[in-house]
Amino acid sequence: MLNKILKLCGIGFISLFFMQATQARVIKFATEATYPPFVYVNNHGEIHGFDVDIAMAICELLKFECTFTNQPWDSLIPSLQFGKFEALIGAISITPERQEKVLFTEPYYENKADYVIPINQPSLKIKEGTIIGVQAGTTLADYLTETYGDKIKINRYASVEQAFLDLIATRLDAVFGDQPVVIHWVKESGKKQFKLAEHVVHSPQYLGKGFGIAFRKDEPDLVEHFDFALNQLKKDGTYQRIYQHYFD
Amino acid sequence: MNLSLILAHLPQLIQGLITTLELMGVTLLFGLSLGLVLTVLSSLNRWYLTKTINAFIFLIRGTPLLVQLFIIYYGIGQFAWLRDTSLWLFFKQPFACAVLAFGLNTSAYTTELFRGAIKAIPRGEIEACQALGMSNTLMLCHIVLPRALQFALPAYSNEVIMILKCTTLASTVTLLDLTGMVRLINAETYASLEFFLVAGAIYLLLNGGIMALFGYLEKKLIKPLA
Amino acid sequence: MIFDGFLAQLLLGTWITIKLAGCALVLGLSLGIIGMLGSTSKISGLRYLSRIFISLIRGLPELLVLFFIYFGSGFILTKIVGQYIEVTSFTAGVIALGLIFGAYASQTFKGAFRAIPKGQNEAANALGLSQRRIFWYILLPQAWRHALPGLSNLWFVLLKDTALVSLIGLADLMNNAQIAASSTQKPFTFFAVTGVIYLLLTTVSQYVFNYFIQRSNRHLAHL
Repeated sequence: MLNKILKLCGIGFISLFFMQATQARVIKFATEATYPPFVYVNNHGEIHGFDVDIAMAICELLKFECTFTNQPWDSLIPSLQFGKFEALIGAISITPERQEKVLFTEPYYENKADYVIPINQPSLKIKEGTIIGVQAGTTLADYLTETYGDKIKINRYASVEQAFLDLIATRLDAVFGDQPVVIHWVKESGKKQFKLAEHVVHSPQYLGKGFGIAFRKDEPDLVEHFDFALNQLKKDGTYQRIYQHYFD
Repeated sequence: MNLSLILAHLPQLIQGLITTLELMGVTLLFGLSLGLVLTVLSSLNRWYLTKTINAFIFLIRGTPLLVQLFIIYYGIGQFAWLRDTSLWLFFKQPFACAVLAFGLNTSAYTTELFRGAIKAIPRGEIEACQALGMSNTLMLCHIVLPRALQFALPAYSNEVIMILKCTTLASTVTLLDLTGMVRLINAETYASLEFFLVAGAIYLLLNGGIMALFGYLEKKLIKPLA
Repeated sequence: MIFDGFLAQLLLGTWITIKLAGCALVLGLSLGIIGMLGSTSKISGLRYLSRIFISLIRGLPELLVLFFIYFGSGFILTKIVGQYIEVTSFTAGVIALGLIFGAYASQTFKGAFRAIPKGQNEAANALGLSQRRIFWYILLPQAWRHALPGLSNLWFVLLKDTALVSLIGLADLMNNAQIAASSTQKPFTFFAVTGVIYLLLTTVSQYVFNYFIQRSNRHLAHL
């Protein structure tokens, strides 16, 4: 009797494993959904955001079926290269280093970065020992390392949301992030205790030429399709509509 | 296998290794001391002490270390009123939070270990001490602790290796230990395999070192007593 | 109200955690038996290989094993097979946790098999049973009784180690708790609740294991 129960449980778990581990093949986007308003997870577990809407609009135009999966930032480019996914999206800056490994579409968003500081501080002061929080492994982190080097202490977090938690907890003097992300956070969660430093950084060298959708190097035709569709969206006003929805 | 790449990042790896060793050292000191204190308190046979200690051990053993770490690091920061006290000077430091979490964790397992070791002492020896009219302190120092040490030392070597493994979680709260450094380098260079292999080799070497140290301790401390 | 609607996410995450642990357990038990057979084998090459592999996995930090399998296995498998193999964070988690469980379990099984009286094996041989039958029908059922306490400890470690898989993006309990904590800026609330849920899981497991351990000893007379 016991043997039968145990065998059933074993078979049950083995089947669950196969059900969980198999995935359907479509245009699978990987993203790290911790970056409102570009990509984020709402409290129903759904992935939403500006990038998601743009991608969905493109897919609708091209008649592709698109799915989005949440993955940690470090694993995005490796997973794309190994073939786990067909595309990457989500506030990914187009940089020369990344262009060595993947193909990007034309930028669908020109990015700038800014700092978030406590509201009673008149302006951003970068001096010896300032502690700034940033998302690990991003070009934002690289910019800080190259620009300020050892003068400041850079705290790296798995997600920018964890950095904000530490900013509230006063472990950080400032958080450095993409402009819309920090604007959105100050508006929604800043609770009148934080503000933008208005120390806007526009550095094509580090922040890249903008955000692009990444594909594998052996898929130039996919890039062409997406560029074409993006242009169409800009021409027929869909792009502007989505932009206004998120950034105005 | 890109050796030049590894050499280029050697300073970072060494820095990470130093942080790992620092974490391990302080955690060991804190965890062992707390474990000893809790063991002694537990042996006093006061029901309120024993019950509290048992509850503490139950909580620690029943939840993942990662949860304990996050409660201490991120959770404490949630309370604004706490941030205004001088306690915050401690909790503000990631190193302090990590050591606190790792130390509490290892102290729970250490207490269990020591309690088990004390229980394993043959009843006859305790009775002999009492028959000879030894005071509790004398008995503790000359018979109980040495005998318990004899039983506990081999098992404690496993616990020290556990502490080493715990330190890898420090990178989740912005500390750059060896694992954290390797993740950082991995994000910059995407050369996954090389650096994880190097880190793995270093951890195995550290393991070997700990086992060798305990082998030496056993020879010095246990054999003379046997 | 206190959970801001994230309670459903936590429960969903709990279910993923249980699935992950269950699958890793099945893999781990199988690997444990294979490991035990390997490390006690009469073929010295196999014996050395098994022992080295087991020591390696037991000596490495769990997080490193997980990262290595997640980042490395896709790379290696693709090179071997030529086309890509799917390695999700769930799969990587099952493999890593299963390997770790198996490495420790092989030691537990070794001790359990050693505890079976030699007479059992001799009698079975005398009756002319094949090696395979002796293993599956005589030795293994008796070994469970000795192995269960050790295996139950390994299960608790496995259950808690599932939290690490959140660090490679699996939407388990820990991962969903992190998202909720960051979104609502209530980390203490959510991590405390997560701790309680893990506590419930381990306590229920404790009762289940105690039941099975009692049952396995039911034929022993109580003195």
